[in-house]
Amino acid sequence: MGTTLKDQVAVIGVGCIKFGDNFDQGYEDMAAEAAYAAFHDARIAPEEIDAAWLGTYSPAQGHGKAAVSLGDALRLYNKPISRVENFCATGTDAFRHAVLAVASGMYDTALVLGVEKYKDRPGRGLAREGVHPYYHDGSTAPGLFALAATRYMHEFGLTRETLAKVAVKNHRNGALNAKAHLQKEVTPEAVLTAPIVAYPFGLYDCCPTTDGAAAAVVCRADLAKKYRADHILVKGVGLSVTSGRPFMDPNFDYLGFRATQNASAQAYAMAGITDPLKEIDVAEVHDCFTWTEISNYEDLGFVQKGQGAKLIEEGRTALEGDIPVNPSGGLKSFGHPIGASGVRMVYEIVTQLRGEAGPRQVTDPKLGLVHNVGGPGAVSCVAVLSQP
Amino acid sequence: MIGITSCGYHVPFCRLERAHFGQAWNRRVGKGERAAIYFDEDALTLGFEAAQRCLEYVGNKKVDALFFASTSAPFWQRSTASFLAAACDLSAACETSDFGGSLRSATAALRAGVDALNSRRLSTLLVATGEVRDGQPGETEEEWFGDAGSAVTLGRENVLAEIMGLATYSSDFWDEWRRDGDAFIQTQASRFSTERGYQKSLIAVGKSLLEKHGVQAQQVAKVILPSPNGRAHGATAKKLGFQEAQILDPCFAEIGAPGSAAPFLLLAAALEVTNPGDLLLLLNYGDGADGVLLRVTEEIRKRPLSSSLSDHLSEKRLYSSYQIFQKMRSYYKHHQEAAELSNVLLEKEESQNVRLHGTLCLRCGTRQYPLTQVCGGCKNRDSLHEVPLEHTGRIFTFTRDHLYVAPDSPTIMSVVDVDQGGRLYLQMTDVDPEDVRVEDPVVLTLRRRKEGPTMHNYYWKCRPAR
Repeated sequence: MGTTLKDQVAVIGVGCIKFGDNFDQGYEDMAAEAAYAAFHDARIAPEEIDAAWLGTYSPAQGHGKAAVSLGDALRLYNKPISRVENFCATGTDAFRHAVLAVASGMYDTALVLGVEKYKDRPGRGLAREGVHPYYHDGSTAPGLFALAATRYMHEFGLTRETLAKVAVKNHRNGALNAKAHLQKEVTPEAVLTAPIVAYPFGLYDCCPTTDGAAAAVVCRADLAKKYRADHILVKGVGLSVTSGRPFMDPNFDYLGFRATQNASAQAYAMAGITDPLKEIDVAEVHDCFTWTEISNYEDLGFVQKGQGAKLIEEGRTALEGDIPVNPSGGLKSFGHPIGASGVRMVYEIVTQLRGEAGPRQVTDPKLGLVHNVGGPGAVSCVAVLSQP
Repeated sequence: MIGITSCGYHVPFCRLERAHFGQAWNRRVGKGERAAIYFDEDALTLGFEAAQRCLEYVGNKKVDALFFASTSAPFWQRSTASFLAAACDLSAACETSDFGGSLRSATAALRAGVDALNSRRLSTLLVATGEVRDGQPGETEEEWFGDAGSAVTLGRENVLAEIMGLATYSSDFWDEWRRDGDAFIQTQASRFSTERGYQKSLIAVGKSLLEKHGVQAQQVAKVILPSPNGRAHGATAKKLGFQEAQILDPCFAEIGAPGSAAPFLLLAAALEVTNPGDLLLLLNYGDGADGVLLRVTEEIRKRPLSSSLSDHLSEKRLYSSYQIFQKMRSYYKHHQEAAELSNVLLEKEESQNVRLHGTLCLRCGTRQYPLTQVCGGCKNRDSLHEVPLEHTGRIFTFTRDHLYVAPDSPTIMSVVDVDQGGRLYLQMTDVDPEDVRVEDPVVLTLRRRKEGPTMHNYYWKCRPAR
């Protein structure tokens, strides 16, 4: 591995629109609203941006598979812009690319924009693109994660009752968040009696299909004060890609995700974290399905494999717990527009570290974690952020 | 000695009780059930399942020809036999032929096969049949017909039943027919058809065969006739001089009349209850008649028989309504699941997608699927070998997916560890969704998948081992 980028890059502004069924907003409307919110927050003019990264998994209709959707939405032309697409890690990976570029010295400032417009597509759930006509036939996003949950439950005896506690916690947090898609609390009974989507996941075990956009502006840490005194520092990033065909890998135990284990190990090494459970004060992790959050506790090194349920059962990841997870409401309640999610998590952690999260503010956080995993388990991206 | 060296059958897991036809059309109906395809089945897949049973017994190494017989093959132009030969992983040098056009197609294939064996051109022949039989909605035949597949292998070694003689009789009688373009079978079924068509042809061929070989009816252990309606076979057999006890039950109450699939299915059933030395008379009807006289050999005692036809028939799902029966038959006529697949992709991936080959790493021993250039176990590139994967395995994990759009939700998606190694991700079929568990044993089966605008496509699914 090359030299560390710890403390070389700062997040000086973030923006996030209201997530949800944004029937009255198109892709460009959401992109522009999020980007200009971040520009405003960073006190930076659009023309001061040196380069940009766009995280979009499924291009909006008519926007094609290129970075032009960012350029056209913001009329930001003649700049180096790249579009990142890396399953559900798309947003965090776009952030990682911008951080690497600024750390390299090539650019002083960069925009990261995550946008996804799903509610103008026909069909159910997330459209499956680029799949093999036979090997993936019958797969859906919940179905793919359910394969892991079924095996995990078989191995460790986890029950749907414990899974439901993740939904209850994240909905409770989301109910406090005005930008969340589903701002309502749910009871364990409602979670357990909801229609099954893909066993063992019922409706409330699944994140919704959501429209949304979020943005962040990063710059060289030594220039950050020029924009904001209360900027946030990037301590480490990690990205790991493993097999996108876990269901054909005879060596895969299906009890967790290697990509998360590897990506977090990279980011922790860069950030100098040795005991994540103790050192991390707040985390936004990828709770696309309730089981995923429990596996994340383990894969991110908070607890040993098979022990994740304890954290939720003991309330330690609740807003008042010693390691609050998904204070935003998580994908579960905030929604999961793929490319926007990772950037939205950066927005949440920056907001928490600045102490500006209002009713969902966790107590005095210094170090925060952002985590995405997709594939399922094929790709994971992790970022560690801290107060300066 | 030339004869039957193995036999197999496959009756669809799904059935419809005949009472449902009465409810749907407000008329009197017969007793029992008819076998009915699931949405992912057709004549080819039924034939494949039956062929698989034969190959479990004789293996595919010595098979040098595959014939397919059906009046309801999924393609008017495209060889079902050639596709099945690939699915059975037979060599490209094997001989493939398709027989159709008549309910006698199965026995026509048998006659041709016996000649090819006699001439020493072939050594082991697999004859598979499959039928999906559609009567006019509302007519009696809709309820009388049945869907099924069957298969036999013919050869000279380890013969279970020697073929003593063949006879044939041609008749241009209008009994059942289907014009090009007809979606349903046409008939003028009546007592006239039964007597002048079915009975006359079968008696003619039966008599000539018995006389030619100097065999009296009472010397025959079982006479095997497909039955169009559950009754005609009995009357015909009696006119040939047979007693009730000699007449094989044609399973009309459990299956219906499965057309070209009937002769080998019933022959297989007869071989489950006969002893060495027994004579069997197999008669088949359709635009004339064919007859086959067989003698059971000592080899029948060596054959391991893990389950019988009645065991096979007892594993079933009863459709809860006529509407569901119809939906399953017509779903792929009205729904496309995929854009047209490229013949470049289909050709390039035939060995993995149809032959079910995977890669074996000789260095670390990992069997993997699909074929790979780099071992997923040890990253080695030099000791990789293409090998056939087993067709049996166990469920490693699964989900019941209600989100996936399918005619029968939920779709069971399973990760299957196949025996001897290799892991597949497969839809599960022929199963009660609530009755799936991790570690359950499964069998791989070929089914209709990804129906395209102009193509029928096939890929593997798994089903409970039965």
